[in-house]
Amino acid sequence: MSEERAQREEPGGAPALPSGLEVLSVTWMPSIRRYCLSIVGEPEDAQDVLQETFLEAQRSFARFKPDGDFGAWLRGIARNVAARRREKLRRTRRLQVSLEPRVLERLEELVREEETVDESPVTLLKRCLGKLSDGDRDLVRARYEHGTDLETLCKGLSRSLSWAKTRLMRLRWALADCVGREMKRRARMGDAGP
Amino acid sequence: MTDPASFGPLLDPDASEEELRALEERLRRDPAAADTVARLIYIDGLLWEEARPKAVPGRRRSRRWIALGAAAAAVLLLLWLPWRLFSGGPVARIESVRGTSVVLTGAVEVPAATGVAIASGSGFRTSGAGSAATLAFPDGTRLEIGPDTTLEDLGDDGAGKRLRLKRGTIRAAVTPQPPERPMRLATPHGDARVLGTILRLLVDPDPLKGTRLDVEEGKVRLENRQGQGVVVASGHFAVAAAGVELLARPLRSAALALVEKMPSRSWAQIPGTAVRAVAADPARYPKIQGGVGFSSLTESWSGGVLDTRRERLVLWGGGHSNYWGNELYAFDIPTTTWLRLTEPTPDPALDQEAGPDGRPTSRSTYSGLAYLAHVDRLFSHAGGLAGGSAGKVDQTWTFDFATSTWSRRNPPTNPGGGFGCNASYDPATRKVWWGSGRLSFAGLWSYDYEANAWTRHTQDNFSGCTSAVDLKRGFLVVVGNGEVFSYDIRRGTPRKEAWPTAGGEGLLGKPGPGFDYDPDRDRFVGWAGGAVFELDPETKAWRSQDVPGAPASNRNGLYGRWRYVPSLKAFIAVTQVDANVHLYKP
Repeated sequence: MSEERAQREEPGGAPALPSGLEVLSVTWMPSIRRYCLSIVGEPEDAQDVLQETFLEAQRSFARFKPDGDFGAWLRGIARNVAARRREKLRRTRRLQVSLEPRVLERLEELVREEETVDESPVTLLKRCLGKLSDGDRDLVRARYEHGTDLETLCKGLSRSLSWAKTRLMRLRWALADCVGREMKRRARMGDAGP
Repeated sequence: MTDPASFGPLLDPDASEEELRALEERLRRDPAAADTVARLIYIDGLLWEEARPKAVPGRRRSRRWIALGAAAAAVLLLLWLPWRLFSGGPVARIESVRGTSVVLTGAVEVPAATGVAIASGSGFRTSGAGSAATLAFPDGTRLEIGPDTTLEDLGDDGAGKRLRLKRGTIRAAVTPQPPERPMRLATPHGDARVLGTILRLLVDPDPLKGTRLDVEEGKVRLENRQGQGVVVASGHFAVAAAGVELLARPLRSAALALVEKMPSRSWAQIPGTAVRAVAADPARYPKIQGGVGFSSLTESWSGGVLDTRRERLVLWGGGHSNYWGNELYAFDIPTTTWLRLTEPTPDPALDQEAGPDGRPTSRSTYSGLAYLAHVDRLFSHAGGLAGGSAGKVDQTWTFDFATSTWSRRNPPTNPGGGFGCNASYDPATRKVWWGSGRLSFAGLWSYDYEANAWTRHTQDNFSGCTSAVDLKRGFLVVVGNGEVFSYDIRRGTPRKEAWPTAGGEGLLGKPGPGFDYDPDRDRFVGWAGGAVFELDPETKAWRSQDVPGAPASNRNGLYGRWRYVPSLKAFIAVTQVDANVHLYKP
């Protein structure tokens, strides 16, 4: 069971009552936020989709069955919101690809995999980032943590744009592979039992 | 294995339309590409998420994410609470929203949107003149929320629906509720219990004005914080406020109905409204009759004030050798009835400021009465004392309408006594602006209730004048003795400014003319019998018109018995104790 689920449910499996915004912020929010970031890509647009997703969820909450999969329900809303806003989100042309049914189907599988392990995928990613060389880690951080655009990155590194694009893609792929392996490893550990 | 670099355009913000179209095509041709794309966008989302908490301070993205976090978490709270705590679903839903509105949940505010559910315990706030919202309950009950309104603790539990109106206005169309579970509407001033009706509740920003309940259909029980209760039926209203009698009154008063039918610039009388009907019984109070008797209330240089809180014209007068009753009378405009607010002192002391019961003795009040709206009190100073002279009556008195008691204020200094004084209350300065009619104390004075202090501003003579405040410009405008003059009472030191006007001679030459300001039309309107005179404060030009139907005036002046009533957008006039109350629609 993931850390997030663990905080949503008491040990006996009975639903836990929320104790306030802190609890809520660390339950569904990170998961849906990551999902929006994945399908939208651009953080500010993802923020808009996330906000609209929660408002939409609030509006249609009466239709949600308490014994249903709340995460899947929220992700479905996020997909619909993103699809509706496709034209408006001109910056994030990624939607042309990320909303392809087969991509969404596979993405759903990846997200569900998260729920089979008791560690947050962000923790797993941190572990994987730690395995990169200093130079590669700096490159990833420059792009994501500091929001540096690729051209500026290249100037700083005295490298070509195509080198930076290729390097980053390979690093992402390596990280995806590492996180996937970590998930599987943690899931196996969980399955082993006492 | 596929080189992930070949999916570069997927995560490249600068990728062209063509490059992405090529990727789409590739996805269609190669089913395995979907896995690569999914893994890449998954890790991209994870990388952004991992970077998020360490975002550079001050970056726009960082701030927006914080704001988003708070907003979405609050929405989640709204979403979660009804789910977990109330299996029956949310208390109400937002049916429509106009302007700025937020759902209040704990310390967090979430922008309101159509369709959003309101969880139990939440509140709602509209902000701005054009703001409004409608909430719908599952049983069909609807709440229309007016501008600048704050609701708290919306709920529906075993005791029934509930909400607290902190300020502003709501209109509730309540479907029939179980008798044992009435809908409870609480305000700072009282509680309303509703079994099924259409009502309107208004919590005035002025705490003195309290909560007003209007009932359009059905019946509502209203209780004030003093434990009094009243059932308000269809077509009636009641006000719950400290010191206000809890009464159900008709929503559309007979006076308003009458005014609505009147053409502009016309007079009408309200039948059966001679004040003598409620006069203190001469047989019971033989010692107060003086030389003239009760008719001195209007004949003997006495005036009145408009109690704007209750919409009552309050009269106090008599004095000299004419009438020695010190009781107060009030014409209740919503119900068009006269009330005797106090009983006279049966054995009055003559030529004394106060009687044996400590209350002020009867006097000719001239234009010296004022209503202190911010403390809900009648103000009086000077006049012509019962059985005596003007010189002795030099005390400042106030009457508390809530407790029906007089207070002798005993300020350290005062403007002395005297005939012919005049007073006007200015809501902006919260002071009474008082003109002395006695030469040795002549001048413009102001009285500050809170400080209980008089201040002398000028040494001008006001004998026989009447004044009113231009609420728009903050000027005290004085008429009488053939002249018009003004003072700027809100900025700097007040100085007399003579207004050279023409056309007002028919009013200015009469004793104690009626004179008041109409803020709706930005005009002063004066009357002292005969034609009605209008003064434009902008052009300082008079305009007069003889309007048929005017009552006969009395020879000694009208003073404050001519007042503008904002709710009617008309003037009220009480001329004689045996005449009906008259209304003039400008």
